[in-house]
Amino acid sequence: MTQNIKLYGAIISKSMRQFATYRTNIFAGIVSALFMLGARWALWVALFATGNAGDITLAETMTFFVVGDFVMVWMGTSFGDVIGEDNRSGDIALKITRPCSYHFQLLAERHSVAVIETLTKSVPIFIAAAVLIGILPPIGAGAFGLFVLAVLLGGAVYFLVDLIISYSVFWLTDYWYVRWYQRAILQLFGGTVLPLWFYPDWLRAIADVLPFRFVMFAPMEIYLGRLSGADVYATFVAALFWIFVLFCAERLIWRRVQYKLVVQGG
Amino acid sequence: MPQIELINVSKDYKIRKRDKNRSWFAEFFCPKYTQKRAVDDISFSIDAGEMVGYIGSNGAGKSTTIKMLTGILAPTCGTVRVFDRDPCKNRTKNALSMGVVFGQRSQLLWDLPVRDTFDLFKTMYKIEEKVFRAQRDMLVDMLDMEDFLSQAVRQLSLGQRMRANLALCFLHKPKVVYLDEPTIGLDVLVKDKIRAFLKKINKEQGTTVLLTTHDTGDIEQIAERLILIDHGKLLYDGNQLGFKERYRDTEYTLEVTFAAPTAPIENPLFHLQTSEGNTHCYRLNHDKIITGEAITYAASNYSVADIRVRESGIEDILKKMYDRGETICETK
Repeated sequence: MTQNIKLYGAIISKSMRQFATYRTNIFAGIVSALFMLGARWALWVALFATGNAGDITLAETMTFFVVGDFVMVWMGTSFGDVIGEDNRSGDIALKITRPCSYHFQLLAERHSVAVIETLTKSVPIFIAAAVLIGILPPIGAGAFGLFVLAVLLGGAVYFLVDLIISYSVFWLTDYWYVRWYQRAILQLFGGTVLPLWFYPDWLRAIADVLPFRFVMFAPMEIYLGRLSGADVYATFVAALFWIFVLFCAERLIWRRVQYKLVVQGG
Repeated sequence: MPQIELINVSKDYKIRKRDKNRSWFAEFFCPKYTQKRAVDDISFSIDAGEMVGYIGSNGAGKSTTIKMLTGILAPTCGTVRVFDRDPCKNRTKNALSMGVVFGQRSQLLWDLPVRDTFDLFKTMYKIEEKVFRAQRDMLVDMLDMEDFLSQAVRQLSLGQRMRANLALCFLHKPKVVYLDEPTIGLDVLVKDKIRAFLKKINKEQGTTVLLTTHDTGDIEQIAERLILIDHGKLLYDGNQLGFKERYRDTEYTLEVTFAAPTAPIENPLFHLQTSEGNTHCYRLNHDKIITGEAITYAASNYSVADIRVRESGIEDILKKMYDRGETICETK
C-alpha cells in the first residue's frame, strides 16, 4: 500500500516536471482560464437580469461553477483517449507488462493531469473570482466535510462510468465520437454547464434517476447548503448503490476486454 | 526445472477477410473472418542463464511468442509456463523478475532526462536504494551512457534511446529478459556495444536472454543457442554450430583474381558464376573437390594474383531457407 502511494506520488511528480518544461503552456492555460471566468460571469449576470431565477442567487451560481471547477478538473478528461492511444500504438503491451496494474497507471496519469490543471486553472480562477466577484464559503464545517465525501463518491461514479464507456475503444478503435457523446451526456444530465435547478421538471426527473449528478452537482448542492439533513444521506446511499452496480459492470466488461485483447502492431 | 517452457503452443488470430467480389454492403452487414495461425504447435524450454537467439522471417511468429511469454497474449492451445507459472494469470507477479524491450517502442519519459525515468522505475519495481544505485551505475558504465544521462529524452539519438531503454529493462535485475529486435536501426558501433553488454550481463548476473533479431551479426556473436521458426512452425532448436553443420551448404564460392585477362578455368568442377574484369567467381562443391585442392589447382595452372574463399554464413543459409519457404519439420 505505502509502495503504491509512493509510486502514485512519483508518477504525479514526474508528470509535473514534464509539464513544467513547457513554460508557455502554463501561462497560456492561466490566461485562457481567466477569460473563461469572465465570459461565464458576463453570461450569468445577463441571465439573472431577466429575473427568472427563482430562489437562486447569482453568487450561488458563480460559486457553483468556481468551486465546482476544482471537482471538474479531476473528471474533465477521459480514459478513452489514453486507452485508445495505447491500443492504437501498441504501447499497452508495455504498460501491462509492468508490475503495477494498468488501471493504476491510468488513474495516476489522469490525476497528474488533474493536479496540473488544479494549479494552472482552478486556483487562478478561484483567486480571481474570490477577489473580483465574491464567492460564498461553505455553509459550515460539517457541510464541507460532507461535500468532500460527496466529491469522493462522485469521483468513483465518474471513474467507473468513464472506464465502461472507454472500453468501447477496444471494439471501435476510433474513439473521438464516443467521447463527444460521453461529454454531452455528462453536461446534460450532470448539470455541469447549466445547474439542474434551472431544468424543467421532466428533465430534472430523468437527471435525478441517472448517476451523472453525483459527479459535480450533488456535492455542490451540499456545499451551498441546498441539500441537507436526511437528503444528504439519501444521496450518499444512491451514490453507493450506483458505485456497486457500475463496479460489477466494469469488472464484467474488463474481463471481456482482457479476453479480446489482441495487441495491434509489432 | 526450466525457467521458460512452451508445450505444444499454438496461437490463432481472427482476421477480417475482405473479398473483392462482395459488395461493401455485404461486407458491412456480414463480415467474414478467417483464422490465421501465427504460431503452430511449438515446444521448447529454456534454462536459467541461457542466451537464445529466436529467429525467423518477418511474420514468422516471433513477436507473438514473446507476447505469450510476457503474458500479453494467451495461447489458443498448449501450455506456456514462465517461472513455473502461467504468465497470463501472473502478469504483475512475473513482471518483477522480467524485462522486455520492444525495439520500436520506448518506455522513457519523453520530456525529461533519462535519469528521471530511472528514478520512476526504481519506485515502480520497488528496488532498494543501494541496489538501485549500484545497478544503475554499472549499467551506465557498461552502456557508456554517462554523457547523455541528464539530457531530455527527446533530444537523444536513436542509439542513445535504445541503450537507455535497454538499461531500463535491466534495472531491477530481472531473471529473464525478452528483447524484440534490440539492434534495429542502429549503427555498427552501437550494435557492438549492445552485444558486448548483453554477453557480459548474461555472464555476470546470469540473466536469461531471449532475443529476436534479423541481424545475423547479433546471432553469430551472442546467441549460443538458436531457435528458428518459420510460418509459425519450429524448424530448428539447438546450438549455433549444429545449425551451421546441419544446414550448411555443401557449396562454396571461390573468387579468383588473375594477373592478366584470362579465359575461364576449364574444369568441370569449377562452375563460373560471374566475371568482372580479371576477377571470376566459381561455385564448387565440397563433396567433389575440397577447398585446398581447388586453390592449388587454380594457382598451379593459372597465374593468379589473389584467391578468396567464401563459405556460406548464417545469413546465406537463412536467405535460402526463407526463399524456399522451407517446411521441413524436424527438430532436435
